[in-house]
Amino acid sequence: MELYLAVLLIALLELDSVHAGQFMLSRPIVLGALLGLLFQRLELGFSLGALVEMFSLEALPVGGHVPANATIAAGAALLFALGPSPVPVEAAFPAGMASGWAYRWLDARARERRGAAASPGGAVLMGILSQFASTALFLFLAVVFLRPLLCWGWPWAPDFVSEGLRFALTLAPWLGTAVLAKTLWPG
Amino acid sequence: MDIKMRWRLFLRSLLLQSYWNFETMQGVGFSYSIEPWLKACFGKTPDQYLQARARHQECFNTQPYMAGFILGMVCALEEDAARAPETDRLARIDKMKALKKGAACALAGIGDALFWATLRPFCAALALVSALALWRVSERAAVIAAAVYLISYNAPSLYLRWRGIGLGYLWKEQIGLKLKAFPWQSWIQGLRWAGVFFVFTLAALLLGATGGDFNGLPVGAVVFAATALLKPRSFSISRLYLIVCLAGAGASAAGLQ
Repeated sequence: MELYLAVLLIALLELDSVHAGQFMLSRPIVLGALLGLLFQRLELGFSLGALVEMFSLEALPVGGHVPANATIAAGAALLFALGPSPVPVEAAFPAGMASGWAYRWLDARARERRGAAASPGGAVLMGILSQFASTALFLFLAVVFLRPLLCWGWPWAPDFVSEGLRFALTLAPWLGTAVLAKTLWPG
Repeated sequence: MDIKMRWRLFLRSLLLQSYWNFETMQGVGFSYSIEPWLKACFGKTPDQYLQARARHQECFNTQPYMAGFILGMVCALEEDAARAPETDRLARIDKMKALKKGAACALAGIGDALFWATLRPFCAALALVSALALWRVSERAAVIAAAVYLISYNAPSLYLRWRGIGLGYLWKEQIGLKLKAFPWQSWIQGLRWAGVFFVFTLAALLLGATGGDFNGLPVGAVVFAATALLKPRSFSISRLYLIVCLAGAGASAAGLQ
């Protein structure tokens, strides 16, 4: 039940990333703390959110560029890693990042289909509702299909695959910190 | 423009990107934002109101936090156009459209550099340092870090979004000259240097927390230094992560781990 509540919460907060407000409530670092509190695993939730945050700061939403959706990436990773029968973090993190990329593709297609609107008020409402619905549906499908698949498939993964992912996850905070340094470096 | 109208414009401007599309971009959102003002200016002439609303649905895109300046400016110019004689109105509208387009591009450049490329990563670095520094002291370090992130980001951005509407209305065509007087580059450089300080503090805290992460060797710190110095900007971190995964998998398969 908590997982489905989390899906709705993420879908609501995702509206903040582009469609409404942009108060940074949708950022992975905030989402991680919120979902960590919800599932009573604050440290894990925040750590995973912080990782996705660092990995998503490189891509800037300038002009018409649509970057990978950081909210979906963090949301999916957190849904996989938190709650009952969780997926190991070393698998949840890349699966979440891949979800963010997949959603970006869907989002770009949705934006292409939108055109001129007769009534701005109606269009604004339609934009918000359709975005909420599509995000909730995407995450619901991830929870219903991808999460069990990861849980079932993980014990069957070859040792070198799980070791490789564990190794990368250990170094991920350093990679993220380095990218943060490069992003902020003046000049 | 009274305070009630300014609030209405401000709240509506928060939905500027709610119907973002590749054809008109923020056009629909801008038209929605300025609707109350256009009703006030052209409410007695429905045809002119609809024309005004339609012209603001055209293609428009700028950094969303800087859009307030353009919103204010356009409000002032639409007000002038509404009061102008019929013979003068079209010329004023054409001038307004050109100013709107020019301001959108200029403000997008400033806003992208200030908010997306500087303030957002700066706030992330600050929040992460707060979290790591408070981890052993408070159970709610993560919540405090998230609050630090939100407050440090929203304080300047909300102020600019609100203030921009008033300043744009006041400055009108002078907006370009007035904005040039702001020390944008100094602010950006200052924030960046502060951000770099926090990033190195973060790296030091991370080293203290993880120490020798591989058989006593600070491999993470070496990876940090190598990535910071050698990674080209065009090479994404996701690709780098994938390479590290493959390297780890390869080492494991070869019996090195």
